[in-house]
Amino acid sequence: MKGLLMKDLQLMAGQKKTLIMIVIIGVIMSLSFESTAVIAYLTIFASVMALGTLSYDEFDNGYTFLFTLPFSRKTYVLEKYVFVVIWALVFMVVGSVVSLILAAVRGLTADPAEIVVTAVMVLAMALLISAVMIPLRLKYGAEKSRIVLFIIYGLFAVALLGLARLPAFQALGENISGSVSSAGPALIAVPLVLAAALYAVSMLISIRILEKKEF
Amino acid sequence: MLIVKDLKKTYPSFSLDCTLEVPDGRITGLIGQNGAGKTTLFKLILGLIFKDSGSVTVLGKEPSSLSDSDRQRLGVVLAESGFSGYLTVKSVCTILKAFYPDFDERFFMDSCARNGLKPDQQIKEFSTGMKAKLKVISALSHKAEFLLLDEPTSGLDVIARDEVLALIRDYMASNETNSVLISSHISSDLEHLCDDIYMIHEGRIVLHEDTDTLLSDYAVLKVSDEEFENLDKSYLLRKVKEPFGWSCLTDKKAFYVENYPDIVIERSGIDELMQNYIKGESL
Repeated sequence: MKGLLMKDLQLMAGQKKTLIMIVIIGVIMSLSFESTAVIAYLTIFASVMALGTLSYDEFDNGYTFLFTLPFSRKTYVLEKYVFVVIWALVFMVVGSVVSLILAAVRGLTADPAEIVVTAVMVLAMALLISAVMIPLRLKYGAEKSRIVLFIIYGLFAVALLGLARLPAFQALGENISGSVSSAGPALIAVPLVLAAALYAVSMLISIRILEKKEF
Repeated sequence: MLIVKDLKKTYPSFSLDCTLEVPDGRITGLIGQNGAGKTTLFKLILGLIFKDSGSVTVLGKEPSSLSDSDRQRLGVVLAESGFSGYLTVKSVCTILKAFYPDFDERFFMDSCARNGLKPDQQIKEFSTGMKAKLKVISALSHKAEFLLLDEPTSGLDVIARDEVLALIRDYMASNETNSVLISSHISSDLEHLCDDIYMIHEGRIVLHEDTDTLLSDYAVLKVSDEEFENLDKSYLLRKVKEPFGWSCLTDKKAFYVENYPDIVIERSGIDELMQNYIKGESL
């Protein structure tokens, strides 16, 4: 695990400039938007970058040699899931701090509750995206998984649009938003727990995919 | 160190069926043309692909049950795959240090410096020769007991090839108990390095012999049709029709030297032996 984490950190170190650019753009963006937007922007971008290490591993037949190094296939999957979470968490914290500072600079009163809610929701999003992406990448590789991803997103969008037209679903939506505002902050944990559960399931699926893969 | 027995792997257009052994402390060579099955064999040994039947025992275990610490005892070079091109020499060093408790950082950095590999350059900017050297240096840098080198000299010019072979030779000189399986499609790479040589063709081992025997007892006879008629063919392995008559492969050179002083017997390298073996028909 240590070696793999080191490898991914080294890959990220090679992208220092991109990372700095992202933070700067985030800061500039949040000067004009609401200050919590920077949390979402940084966390999602960071997790997508962390997922990018899969492409770096795969690049130029890299997997074949990589899997001769001293670690098991299972460890590779575990490390990838851990690395994505760490990376997303780090940038969630960075985003939250930036957001607090910016609010202070602009003379706005920062609402800690709002920041926490945003941070938690965004983390849940990052986990969901990764839970879908990682097994797809492992199964189909960088090129083919992009096509599969389009199809999944497409189906998802069509399903959601279809559902949204149903009167019953609209009523349900209003119900939920009503109960969220009344039940308060305790409920924000629900999406995070759900996302984490899906993330864990996705990890098990990825292990199975990788253990069958031939390089 | 390595025992491969009746190992089978079938693809739609290719099938491998191999038996081979690398005893402790031996350097074993594997020669074959491109597509003969060398890389497939290495991948099976390393557990990168799965066998259909037969057995592979490496360090006393099946590839799939090798633990991390077993794998630390292996040093691997693969022709078509290496560290991600986005890494630098320095980051490869950091990564190897994290993977291998016995990693020798000084050996690694010194060898890189001596071979002109700049520490801060990305691997993807390296020439083919530089990439090959980095792979070999990486495989040699952590006191591996068993080196698996698949075409470490593939695609290199003569000078780069010699430098890569020198790296391997120096390492072997200072670590005599190590075992090595090394493949190449250029047999002169292996002649001076290996104790014994396997020849692989279309997924099958067609010949296995000690290197010394190959070089001393095997030879190619060049004979006219008339000479061929009168030749005792008991010790001929292969014959190839040539414009001048026949090229014949024998593993009893001394017999023909003594009994047929007039015929042309070429001092052949392993490349010619191999060509003759593969192109020729049996008698």
